Amino acid sequence: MEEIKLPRVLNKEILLLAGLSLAACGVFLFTKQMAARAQQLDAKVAGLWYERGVQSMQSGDTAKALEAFRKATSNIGDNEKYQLALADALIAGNHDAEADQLLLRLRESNPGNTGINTRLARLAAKQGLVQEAVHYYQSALYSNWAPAQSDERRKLRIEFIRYLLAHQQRDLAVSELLVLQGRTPNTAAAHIETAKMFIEADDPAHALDEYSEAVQLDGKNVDALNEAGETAFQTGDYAKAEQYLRAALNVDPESTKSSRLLELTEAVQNEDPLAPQISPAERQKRLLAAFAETQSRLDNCLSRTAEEKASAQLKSLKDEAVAMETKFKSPAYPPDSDAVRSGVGLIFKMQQTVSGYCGKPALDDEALLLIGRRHNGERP
Amino acid sequence: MNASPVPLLQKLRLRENHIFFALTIVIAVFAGLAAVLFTLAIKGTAYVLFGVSPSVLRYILVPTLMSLATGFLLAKYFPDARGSGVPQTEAAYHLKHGDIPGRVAFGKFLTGALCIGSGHSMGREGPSVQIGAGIASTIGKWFKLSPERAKSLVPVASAAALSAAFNTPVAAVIFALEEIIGDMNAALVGSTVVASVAAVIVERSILGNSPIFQVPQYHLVSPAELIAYAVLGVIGGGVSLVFSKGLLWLRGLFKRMPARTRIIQPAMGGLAIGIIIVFFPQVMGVGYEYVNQVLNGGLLLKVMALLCVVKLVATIISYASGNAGGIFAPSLYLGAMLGGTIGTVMHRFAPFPTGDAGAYALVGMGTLFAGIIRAPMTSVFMIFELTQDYQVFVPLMIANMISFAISKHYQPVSLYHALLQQDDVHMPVPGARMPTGTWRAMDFMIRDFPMTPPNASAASALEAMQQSGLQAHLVGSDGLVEGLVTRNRVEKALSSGSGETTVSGLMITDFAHAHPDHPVELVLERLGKNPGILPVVSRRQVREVVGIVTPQSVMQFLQRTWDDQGSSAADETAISPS
Repeated sequence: MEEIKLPRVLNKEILLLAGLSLAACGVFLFTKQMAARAQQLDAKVAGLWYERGVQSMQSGDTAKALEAFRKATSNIGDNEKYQLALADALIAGNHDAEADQLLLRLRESNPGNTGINTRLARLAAKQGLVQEAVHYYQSALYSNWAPAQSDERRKLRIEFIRYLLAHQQRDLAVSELLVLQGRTPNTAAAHIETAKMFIEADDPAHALDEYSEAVQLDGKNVDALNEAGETAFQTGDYAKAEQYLRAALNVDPESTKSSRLLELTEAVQNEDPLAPQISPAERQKRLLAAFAETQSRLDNCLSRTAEEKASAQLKSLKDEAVAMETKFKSPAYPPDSDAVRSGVGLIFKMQQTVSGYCGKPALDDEALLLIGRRHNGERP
Repeated sequence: MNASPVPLLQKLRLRENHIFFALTIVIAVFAGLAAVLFTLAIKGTAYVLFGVSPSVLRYILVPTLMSLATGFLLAKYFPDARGSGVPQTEAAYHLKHGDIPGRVAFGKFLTGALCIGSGHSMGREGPSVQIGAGIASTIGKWFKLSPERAKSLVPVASAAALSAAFNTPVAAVIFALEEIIGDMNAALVGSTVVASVAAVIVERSILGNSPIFQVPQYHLVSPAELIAYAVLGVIGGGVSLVFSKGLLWLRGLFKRMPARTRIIQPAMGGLAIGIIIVFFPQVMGVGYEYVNQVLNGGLLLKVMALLCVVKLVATIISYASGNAGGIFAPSLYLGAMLGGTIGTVMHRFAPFPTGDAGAYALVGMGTLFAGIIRAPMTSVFMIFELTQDYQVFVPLMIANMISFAISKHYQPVSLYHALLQQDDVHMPVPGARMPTGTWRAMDFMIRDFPMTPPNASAASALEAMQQSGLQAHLVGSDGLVEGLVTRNRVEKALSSGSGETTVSGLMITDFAHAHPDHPVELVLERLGKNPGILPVVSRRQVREVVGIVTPQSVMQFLQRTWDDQGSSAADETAISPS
């Protein structure tokens, strides 16, 4: 049998190489351990600087905070908390370009991060970049949030809605408000807050829903009752407005604003010749009362108007009113709904014209204006 | 049964090529680990010495006392560990067959960590290169490799060390070829690539894959912006010159101080640095965190301009006073500050749209690197590796080349080579590398020559000249030349009655010299500048004479050559009389 002589294979070089390789492994492990220790030390030092930065931020010393956060991040480059703190300090210190670079770099590796997107959105908002701000706000809101963060998310959505409203982005604001409405916590304050934003977004119908919810939860909340009444009044739902305003006055009888609005609401409901479920005689009575009231206001205005063109216009309206009134006065001829509608239309026209020349109407005249608007398809 | 060797086993025996390849990887791993450990050591030293927020007294005392300690170590035990390490590595490669003793590598590691960690404005890359090359040289000796193989381990280890220290493997390869070997077509490309990759893998597996700099995306806003980059190149070239000349001037000043002050010179630099960092802690150590800030637009114009000036001064002081540390990182720092400054000014005042200051800082880094280190290709690839963006190439090349050209025009010898010259080491320039077969000084110099001691009298000098038959003699002792003395001068001195004058009073100290590898044309040109004798000196120590060349020695060499080859050549070139 052949005898293998080990020394021929394992010559000196191979042994040396093997020894060196083993030594390299040893040095590698040692270096790795040293690096781990260095990282621990870095983490400790970074933590110290971070704490200092937080304290400086709290005391309003942005420059010191910035320096501290820079040191913290230079010790540990990949700590998101420290980097976001640095970004906050940069933004607070008006180092917008650097903050932007930092946040964009962070976003590259974590595009769905809410903290990063939120800061980018605020930074873009600060710089007046509306489209970018909207993009980052949406990225932040529509990424993954933990269930425990629902309150934070709601706050961010409210911030976004307010930003949209401030920048005339009404449609987007309403979309976000509808999402917010579905996730509003069941408290009166939250519903009132949402309702107010709906009002700002010129959407009183949804605002009324929110106020109604608020009133249901807290029937003694005067603000909610008043706002609900006003909103119902704005939407033309005078019955509901009367209900809320009366309730508000019950809780706070001293509220002059509510009492005037309640009077107006009652007047609108009691003076409307086109109100449903009233008899023809009542309809005729209301119509004639409205004519009388309007003509009286017109006469008063005419006596005070010296301008030729205005006088002519008012006189012409008066003639038209007299003719129509005479027709409506006949007891044998109760007016049909079309005639009443045209009468209400003329009364509205007269009230509008008089308001144009002679200023603010009294309560009954204002009620007639509102009735006219309502039946003219306009919002109150 | 006969136990004769089995052919299979014979095949298994490693040949030198295989050993070299395996060794390349092992050395790369060691060089990479050494670079990582060096980085960690610098950080650890800085933390131990300065703590988290040092007092003013600590700022001043730490660099002073540490430099006192390292000054002692450098003067007594590790004299070759001063400064960067790159020029020493180059010299070892070209002049010493790649021999860098392990002691030097150890000394560099120790003193480098202490100097940079104690706040000196110096870089870690140059020392890493020397440490890596020292490890390679030591391991090469254990394997008893052929001189050429042993020598070739130096650039391989340099690439590995730089790759691990700077996390740019491609630039590390280019640096090894461009700076250490000085030849982009070198046969060692394969080995350096393997080593660079192996080292960067080691480094990333330990420290992670995060880049040194957080570089923003680069944009060239308009073609007119190239003018702004050209301006950056011009100013960058100027700043490179100021840095190089300032460093050489101050280092020369320190070198001219009495030898006994050598130990405390680093401490003098340390004290100056201590005072500087009280006011500008941003210039301490490597300073890459501030480079990062500039790249991301985080510093004000005034701060950037100020830091550019202060860093320049601090680095010159740190290096010139004889501390251990490199100029690689400071040149990048300076470039970033300068680029940031010019970028901000351009952004405000240029009549065309320009990019952010960060983009200029990035190009500025390459520009100063090209101007100071004189490795333009390395700088281009380094910045490209940092940005990974092709758009940066054109502005970078424009600025780099302008800076390089200005720097080279006003200071033909590169800073690394000039530093070596100050240490009496003359590196062969690429132009001096002649093709094989060219006659060189070593072929025709006289190796056995007389040397007159400086304290010899004029009369004895004349007698010695008469005996040797030479028109001039070298003056010096122990093989180290101090000057030349001519027969004419000696005779004049004797005829004027000052026969007791010593040779040192008559010698010419400003004389030309040649190196053994210089080609015959250059030797003859330089011989023409000297009075009949040209000393041939070692590149490793220019005072060390290895031979002389005289007109007679040249003639005799030609005669010998003609005698040896002339007849056969004559046969081939003879014109037949018929």
